Amino acid sequence: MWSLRNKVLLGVLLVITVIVICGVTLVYKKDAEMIQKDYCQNLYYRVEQAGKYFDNTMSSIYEISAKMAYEKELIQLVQKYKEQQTEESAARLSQLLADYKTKNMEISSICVYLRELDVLITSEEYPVRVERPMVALRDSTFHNPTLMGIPYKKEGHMLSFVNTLNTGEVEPSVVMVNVQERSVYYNYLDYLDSSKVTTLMLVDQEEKVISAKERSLIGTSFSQPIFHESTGQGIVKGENGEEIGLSYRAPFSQYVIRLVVSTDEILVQLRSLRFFVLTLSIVFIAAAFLFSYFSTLFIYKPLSQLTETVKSVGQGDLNLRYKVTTKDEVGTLGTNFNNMLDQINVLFKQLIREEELKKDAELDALQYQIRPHFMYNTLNTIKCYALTKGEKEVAELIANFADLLRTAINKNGVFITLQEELDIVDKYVKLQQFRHGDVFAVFYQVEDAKECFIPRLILQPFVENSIEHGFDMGKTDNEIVICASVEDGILNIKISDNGIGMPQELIDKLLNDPAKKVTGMSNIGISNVKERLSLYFGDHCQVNMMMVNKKLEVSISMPAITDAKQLCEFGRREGESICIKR
Amino acid sequence: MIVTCMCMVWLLVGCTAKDNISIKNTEFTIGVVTKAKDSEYWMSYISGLNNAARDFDVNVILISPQTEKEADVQRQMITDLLNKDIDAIAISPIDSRDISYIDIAQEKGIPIYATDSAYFDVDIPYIGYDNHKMGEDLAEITAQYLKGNGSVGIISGSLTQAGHRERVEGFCGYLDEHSSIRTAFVIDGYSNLMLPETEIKELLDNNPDLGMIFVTNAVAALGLADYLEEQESSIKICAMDAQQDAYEAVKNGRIMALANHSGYENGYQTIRRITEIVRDHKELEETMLQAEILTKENIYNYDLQGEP
Repeated sequence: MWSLRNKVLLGVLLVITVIVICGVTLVYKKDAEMIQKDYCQNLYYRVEQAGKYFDNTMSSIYEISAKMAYEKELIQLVQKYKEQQTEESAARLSQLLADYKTKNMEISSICVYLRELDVLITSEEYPVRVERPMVALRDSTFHNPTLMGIPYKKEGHMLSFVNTLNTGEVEPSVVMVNVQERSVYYNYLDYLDSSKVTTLMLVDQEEKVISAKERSLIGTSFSQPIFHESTGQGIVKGENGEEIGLSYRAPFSQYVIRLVVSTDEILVQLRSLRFFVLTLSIVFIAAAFLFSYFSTLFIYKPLSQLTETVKSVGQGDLNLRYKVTTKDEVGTLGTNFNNMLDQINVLFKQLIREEELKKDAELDALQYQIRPHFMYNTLNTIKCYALTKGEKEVAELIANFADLLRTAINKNGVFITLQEELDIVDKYVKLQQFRHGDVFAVFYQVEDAKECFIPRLILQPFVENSIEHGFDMGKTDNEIVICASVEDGILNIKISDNGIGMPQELIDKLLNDPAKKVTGMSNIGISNVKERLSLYFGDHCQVNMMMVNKKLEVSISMPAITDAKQLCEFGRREGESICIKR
Repeated sequence: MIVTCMCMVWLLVGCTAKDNISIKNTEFTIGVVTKAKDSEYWMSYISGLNNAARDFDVNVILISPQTEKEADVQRQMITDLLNKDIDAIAISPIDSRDISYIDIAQEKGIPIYATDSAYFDVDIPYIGYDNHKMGEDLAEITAQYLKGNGSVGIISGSLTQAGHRERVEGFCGYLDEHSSIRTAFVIDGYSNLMLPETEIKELLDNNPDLGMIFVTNAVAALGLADYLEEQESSIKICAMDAQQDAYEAVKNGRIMALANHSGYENGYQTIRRITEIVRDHKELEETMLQAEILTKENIYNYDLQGEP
C-alpha cells in the first residue's frame, strides 16, 4: 500500500518536473525567438544603413555624372579630340576626367566613350585611350547605374553612371562615371558578412547579381526560395524555419541587398546552454525532491505515529494513547482520538456494570421463582406437628422439603459447595423416592471435588429431568450416577442415567429453549442452568447432553474453585480496566 | 491528472507561433530635386526632408545640381528620376518656366509638386512659403523705417525662379501701394551668391540716397552687410532665409529685418503633405507657410531653434 507520504512525494516530484520542463521549454523557446528577433532586427538595421550609405554614394556619383554631361569644358575637350585625335588632346581630356574623379573617393574611374570613333578616353594613367572598347549601351543604361565589365581590363566589373554629353549630336558621346564592383562589395557588403550569413548579395531589379563575395556569381541570376514571396524589403522566415532572409531595396539605385542567415548559427550559443540548463534542471528537481523528502518526513512523522497508535488500538490495546506533539491537524486528530478512547473506556465500564446488573437481576428473577416464604414457614409448622404426633417419617419428608425450599429461598451466596448441592439433590431424590417408591437409586462419586464451589441448583434440574422424563417407573433398576472430579483446575461433573434416553432434538431443545418449565420442582430449566453458568464463567464452562451407550449423560465443566476469594475473579472488580480476551 | 498536465504543456508550448514576416518597410518613395545643396538653407531643407521621411516612414531620393545656375543639369536629373520607381516627385525648379518633363511625369502617373519655389503659369501644386507675403511684410518694415519716402534697391536671386520673383513683386507692390518710396534698382542672379565688391560699390555710387536694400536671400545679404559695415554705411538691409549667421546679423543690427524663411520647415512640410495626399489619400487645403519677420526687438523672444 502506498503511504500518504509517498503519494505526496510522487505528486510533488511530478508537479516540479512538469513545471521545470514547461518552464525550461518555454523560456528556451522564448529566448530563441527573442534572440532571433533581436539579431534579425539589428542585422536588418545594419543592412538598411549599408543600403542607405550605398544609395547616398550612388546619388552623389550620379550628380557628378549628370553635371559632367553639361560641363562645357568637358564638351569642348571632347570636341577637340574628335577633331584632332592626338595623344595630346587625349591626355588633356584624360586629365580633366582625372580632376573630376577626385570629387568623390568612391569613383574608381571616369571615361568618355566617343561612339562615332568607337574610342574610350579614361581618367587612368594607363590606358588613356582604348580603341574598340567593349561597351554595351542600352536605354536602361542611362537611368540607373549599370553593371558592366571594365572596358580596358580583362577582368573585373564596375557600376557605371552613363550620361549623354550635351553636344546636340546625332550620336553623342557619353560620359561614364564608374565605381568598381569590388569597391562596392568591400565598402558596403563585406561588413555584413559573418559565420551566420549563408548568402549575401547585391542584386538589381531583374534579380541579377551586381556584387557578391564570390566573383563568379556576378552577373548571374539570383534565386533563393526564401525571397519568392517577398516583394521588396523586410525580414522573412524560411518555411522550414532554418533560415531567415533580409532584404533592403535602396530607393535611388533600386538595387537590393539580399542576405540570408542560418537560424542554427544564430542560436549556437543558446544551444550550447542546453546542456547547462538540462543539468541545472536535474539538479533543481533533485534538490526539490530532497527538500520535499525531508520536509514530508518531518510533517508525516506525527501522522505515522498516530497511524501506529490507531492500529494498536484497533487490535485491542485500548490502554494505548497517542502522544500529541504538534498543534496542527494531526495534533487535533490525536487529541480527539485520545478523547474518543477515554469515552470508549467509560462506555465499556458502563456496559459491564449494566451487564452485571442484568445478571444479578436475572439471578434474582430466577431465584425469586423458588422462594415461597409462606410455604417454608408452613411446612416447618407441619413438621413440628408431625413430630408431635410421632410421625417421624412424615416429619423427615417435610424437613427435606423445607430444606429444599430454604435452599431455594436463601439469597445469601450465589455459590455453594458441591457437597451442599449434592445434599439438596439428595433431599430432592428422597422426596421423589417417596413419591415413586424405590424404583430408582442415585449414586454419588465426588470425593475429591466436594469442596468445589458451584452455583446453586445446577445439578437438581438434571436429576429431575432424568427422574421425570428418563425413567420407566415400571422398572426398579433405574439408576442415576453423579460423578465429579477435578482435573487441571477444571471441575468436571457427569450425571448419567440408564433410562429410556432422549432423542437429540429433545436434547437440543432442553439445552437451548429458554421457556419456563411448567412442571417439576422449579421453573429452572436445563437451559437456565446453562445460561447461569455462562453468566458466571463465560467461555470457561460447558454444558453438554448426549447419549452414551444408550445412557443419557450430562457433562458439566467449570473452573474448580475451592477458595471463596477466587469467586471474585469471575465477578466485578472495582477500579480496574476490564480486559476481555477473545 | 497526467493527461491534463500534458495538455497544459502542449498548449503553453504551442502558444508561441510566429508570423512569417516580422518587418516590412513601406516602399512609398518620393523623389526630390532641389536647386542646390551648398547653402545652409538647403542643408536645413534636407534635414527637414530626412526627418519627415523618418516620421512618416517613406523613402526619399534627393538629388540636386551643385549650384542654382545648373538648370540643364537639374532638368536631366528630373528626367532620370522620373524613370525610376517613385510614387511622387517634388521639384524646386531653377527655371520656373521649364516644364519639359511634365509629360513624362503624366505618362508615368507620377504626381509633381513644386517645393520652395513654384512654377510659372502651370497648375502644379506648390508647397512652401508665401513668397509674395514675405516681400510685402519686409516692404512694410521698409516703409516704416523710411517713413514712406526714399529709395530702395533690390538684389534678388534669379528671376526665372518663381520664389524670388514673387518676393520682389510683393516687395515692390507694397511700396508702390503704400508709400512714395522709389525702387532704385533690381538686380538678379544672386541666388545664394555674394555680390562682388566692385558691383556693390558701383550700385551704391550710382544710388547715393539709398535707404534700404532688399536682398532675397541671406548669403547675398550677409556679403552685402559685410561691405556696408566696412564702409560704415547707414544703408539698412532686409533679407530672407533662416540661418544662424543671419540671426546673428539681426541681433547685432547688420540686418534690420529678416523673414524667417525656414528651410527645415519647408523640407519637412513638403514630405508631410505629399505623403498625406498621395499615400494616405487625405484631402488637404493648399495652404502656404507663413514666415515670421525677425527684428532686433523680437529676435530674443523667438525660438531660434527653428529646426530640431
